[in-house]
Amino acid sequence: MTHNSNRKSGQLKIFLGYAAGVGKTYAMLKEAKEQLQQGTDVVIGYIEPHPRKETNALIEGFEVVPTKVFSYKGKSFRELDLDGIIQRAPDLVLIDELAHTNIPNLRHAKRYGDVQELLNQGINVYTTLNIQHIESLHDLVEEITQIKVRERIPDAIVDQASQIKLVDIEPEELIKRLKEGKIYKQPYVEKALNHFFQQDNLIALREIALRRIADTVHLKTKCIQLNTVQNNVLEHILVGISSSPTNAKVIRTAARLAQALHGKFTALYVDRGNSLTLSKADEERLKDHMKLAQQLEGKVVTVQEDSIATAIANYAQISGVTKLVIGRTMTKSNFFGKTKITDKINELLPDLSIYIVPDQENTPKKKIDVKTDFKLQPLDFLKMIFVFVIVALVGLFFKSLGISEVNIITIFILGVLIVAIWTTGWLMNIISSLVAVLSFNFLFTKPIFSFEVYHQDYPMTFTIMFVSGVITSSLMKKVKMQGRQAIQKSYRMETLLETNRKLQSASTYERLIEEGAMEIVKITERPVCFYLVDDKQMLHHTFYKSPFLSTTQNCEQEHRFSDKNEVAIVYWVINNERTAGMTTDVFKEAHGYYVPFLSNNKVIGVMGISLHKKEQLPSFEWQVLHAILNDFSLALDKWQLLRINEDVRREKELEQIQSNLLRSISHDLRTPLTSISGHADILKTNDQKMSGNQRQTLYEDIYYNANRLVQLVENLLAVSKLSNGHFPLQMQEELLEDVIHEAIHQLSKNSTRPIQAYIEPEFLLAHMDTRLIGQVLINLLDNAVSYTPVESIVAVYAFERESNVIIEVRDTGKGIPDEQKIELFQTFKKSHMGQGDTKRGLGIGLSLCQTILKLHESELTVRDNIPHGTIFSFYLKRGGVVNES
Amino acid sequence: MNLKRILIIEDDIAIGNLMKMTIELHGYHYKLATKGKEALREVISMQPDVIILDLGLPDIDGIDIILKVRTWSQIPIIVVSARGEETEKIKALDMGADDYVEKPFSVDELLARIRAALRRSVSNVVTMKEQPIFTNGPLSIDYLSNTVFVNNKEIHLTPNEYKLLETLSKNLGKVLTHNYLLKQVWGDALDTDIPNLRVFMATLRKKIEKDLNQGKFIQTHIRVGYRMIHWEKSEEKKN
Repeated sequence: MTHNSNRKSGQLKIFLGYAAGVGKTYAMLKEAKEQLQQGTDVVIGYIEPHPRKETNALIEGFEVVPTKVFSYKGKSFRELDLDGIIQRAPDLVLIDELAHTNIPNLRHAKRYGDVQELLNQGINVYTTLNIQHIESLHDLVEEITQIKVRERIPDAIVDQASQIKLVDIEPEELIKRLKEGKIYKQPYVEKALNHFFQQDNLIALREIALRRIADTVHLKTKCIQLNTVQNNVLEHILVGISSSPTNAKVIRTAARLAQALHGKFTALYVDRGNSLTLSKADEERLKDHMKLAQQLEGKVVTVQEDSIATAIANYAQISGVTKLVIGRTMTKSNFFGKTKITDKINELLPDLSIYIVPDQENTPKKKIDVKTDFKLQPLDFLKMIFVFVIVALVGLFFKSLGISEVNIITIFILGVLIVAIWTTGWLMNIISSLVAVLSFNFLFTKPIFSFEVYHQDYPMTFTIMFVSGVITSSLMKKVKMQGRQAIQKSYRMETLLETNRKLQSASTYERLIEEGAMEIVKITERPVCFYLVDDKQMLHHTFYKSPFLSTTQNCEQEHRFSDKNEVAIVYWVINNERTAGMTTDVFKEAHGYYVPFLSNNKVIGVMGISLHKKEQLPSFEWQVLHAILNDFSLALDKWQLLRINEDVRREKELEQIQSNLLRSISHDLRTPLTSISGHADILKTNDQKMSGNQRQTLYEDIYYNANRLVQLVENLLAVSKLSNGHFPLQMQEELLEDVIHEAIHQLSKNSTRPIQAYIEPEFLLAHMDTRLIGQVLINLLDNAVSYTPVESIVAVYAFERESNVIIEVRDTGKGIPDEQKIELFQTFKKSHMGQGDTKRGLGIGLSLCQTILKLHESELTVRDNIPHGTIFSFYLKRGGVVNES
Repeated sequence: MNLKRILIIEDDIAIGNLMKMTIELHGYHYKLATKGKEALREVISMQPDVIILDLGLPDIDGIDIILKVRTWSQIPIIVVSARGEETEKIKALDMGADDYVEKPFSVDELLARIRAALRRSVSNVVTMKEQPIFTNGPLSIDYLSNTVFVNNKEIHLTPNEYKLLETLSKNLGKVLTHNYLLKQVWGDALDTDIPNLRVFMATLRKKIEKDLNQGKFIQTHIRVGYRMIHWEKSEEKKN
């Protein structure tokens, strides 16, 4: 039993600096050299080419795993040879620049992915990192230095390091070094001095670095004190996720706060049912934000609620949130001057401290919203014109009937309402209200067919008409949206309940997998593939095609799943117990999205989902998918546990049978042994006194009993075979004729009685463990021959019945009385071995036969032969029909 | 008549003695080697007609001895192994052993195997293979015209049945494993084809042994394979 838990994972040491040039690589190499001198097996995985002579000199003496050259878009890049290092398996590997982004097509998107895999393989890693690359610090750094940092690594990686060494020099010294050309080549020095390497920048960066180290040290000591029990964490920081572009900053701030306070960190997304109306860009951002929160070790929670404030307040209260972090934009009052979110939360939960984070880049967000929400569609206009033409006609009809104008206004308002229901976009509300007012004006107020009005009341009427039109239609839109939200909510609930029900009611493991896979096909509309895994080996995979694709497309997808590269990714997932493939950071270029399922710390299966490359799943479906995957994982786990229990039970049963069999067999051994040793003794001492005839009888007795012993040993071997692991049977399709004749042949060594075999049809095949069934036949025939008078006939019959083959051993002896028939098999169960050697069937033979047949899902039965005698009968599964070619 | 030489390679003293006595009583010349290296030397110096080899030797794996001997000689090798260890037997046969006996064996059984092996070495494998017509008691096969006769009556066989019979006849007296036969007749060996082979063999046997009054050409070695036996031998066995 070698799983991951037993494998020691490697240790990570990070040499952290606050800027380039502080000497991280130098420090790393120096320390590695010491390790090398102490006899550690150190290799260099990747060292950034350096202009410094001192550093280059240090590299000498290390073994280097050569980097691999990859070409991408016409240029060639040198990248870490991950597989080379894993194969080389050193104690320690040196890898520069942890924050490096690999070129696409490589297994991991980022170098830290490579490093993590090496650690998982039990290889220790030394690496270097600059402070500005740490995710949670990145916008802090940006604020100070005005430089955008693209390559970032999650805080979790830094916290995972067993040691962090801060490589620190005075900023003045660093600038001096820069000027001496020790960091960059001359032409770049000037530029660097004016940008990044300004003294205030460096001082600030240095401070951040020192603080980060101090925080980590604090965390470590605290962890040790608390014995790393996470439950003792008192602070719980909550942050709201939105699709706003500034939200990322808010999340980072919250994460930093959580880290500084060593608290729990949760990110909450309030789904107001508008996920369908989100624009592509928003949708994308929302997903990115969720991923960011996860990367920053936050738990992402989604709730569906109309009001953000209530949702946050409810969640905060239930989950014991102590601090809420919220962006300033969220606190702004909205359209109709309702209370601010913060005020409302304050009202609901006065004890909660709220942190408001400035996020000034707010304006673009508003613009995007306006664009998406107020988008106009030509079809909507047609709808509107259609509605108003009917409204006008009805109005004209009413007027001809002499119905007052007030009622006609109501009809127009009704028209606005209908338009609101029928169309999308908020701008339509205003336009339709305006159209209503104008057409009313044009058609019904004097002077008719002009936009002028004579009566002074009309402007008032028009205003009221317009406002009420806008309000009613807005309300209508809202009702409509709530309806859609409710449908979505109930759809999600229904899907999950349905999945759950199906998974629960699956009768077999295979069925369970099928149900789970089909549910995922249903939700994603894409084909999936399930890889069954045992002991880190892929057993087989099953493809589930999507009814939403054509047959050829499905075929193509199926081929892709068995592609060499994809299978390699599945193996990676199995070995690393992590999701990979499309939409993740690992094997981004893969064809599918691969999720491992674990039970008992072992990967038992991998689900591959062939997501669409361009059209990504909307976040709502994504959430449902993950909920289903989660459900499926639990169901698989449950089955596995049941299976283990079943195995344990069977093993116990088998052990019981085995010990009983052994007990009876040793009893059976005694008789022939006594006879052999006794006879040999007589021959040895009284040889001269005996006549030739007497001696001959003794010889024959010895020979006969020795053969009986051989027979017993065969049974003993069969018993030992039964205990060989979980699957003691080696099932084969065997020709019954061969098996029966072999048994008769074996028996003919001991007895001279002829035994006939009648097999109908001739070439009958049956599924069996040949050896064990052979043993059953030998035992049955031996019994029949030994316990019936010489003149009675013993024969074997084999014939088909439905999908089975019935095999019978018939004799024409005296037969067995009914009360003894019951005892035949019971005696053994009770395991009292009274007079075992005198009565038929009380020895090991029949009990062993019964056990073997039980393992073949068969049973040994006994009945009377006509006119007299006994029939022992059992059945086996018939083999396939073989056709002559 | 010069004595037939038999080399016994067996490390167990009791079984070695039993074999020694049996062989001596039946007028063969024998030598007993208890170790693999010693045995290989004896094979060269003694030039035996038959080798009896126990697979479980203390110094060299029995399979290796077969492989070494087969590099330069076709001396018949009879392997001795315990019952039930089919995989070992099959491996030995595939590596070039001719026959096997299962422990515990009876004296008669061992002698019968030795006789068959001697006959095999006498009838000279090479000439037999080159002859255009093969005869074994009432059975004769014309390799040129692909025809089979039993008691001078032509028997109609399907191409696969004929191929099976041809393969068996060209290895007269030798046990051929399921995999070997599958490879020879069908070109490749899948375990799932074995039931097919069994049925083919059964029909083939029915066709050629039908009129022979219980006489047999082909022996079934359950879980191992098949062998074509010398006709005289099967007559002997009946008595």
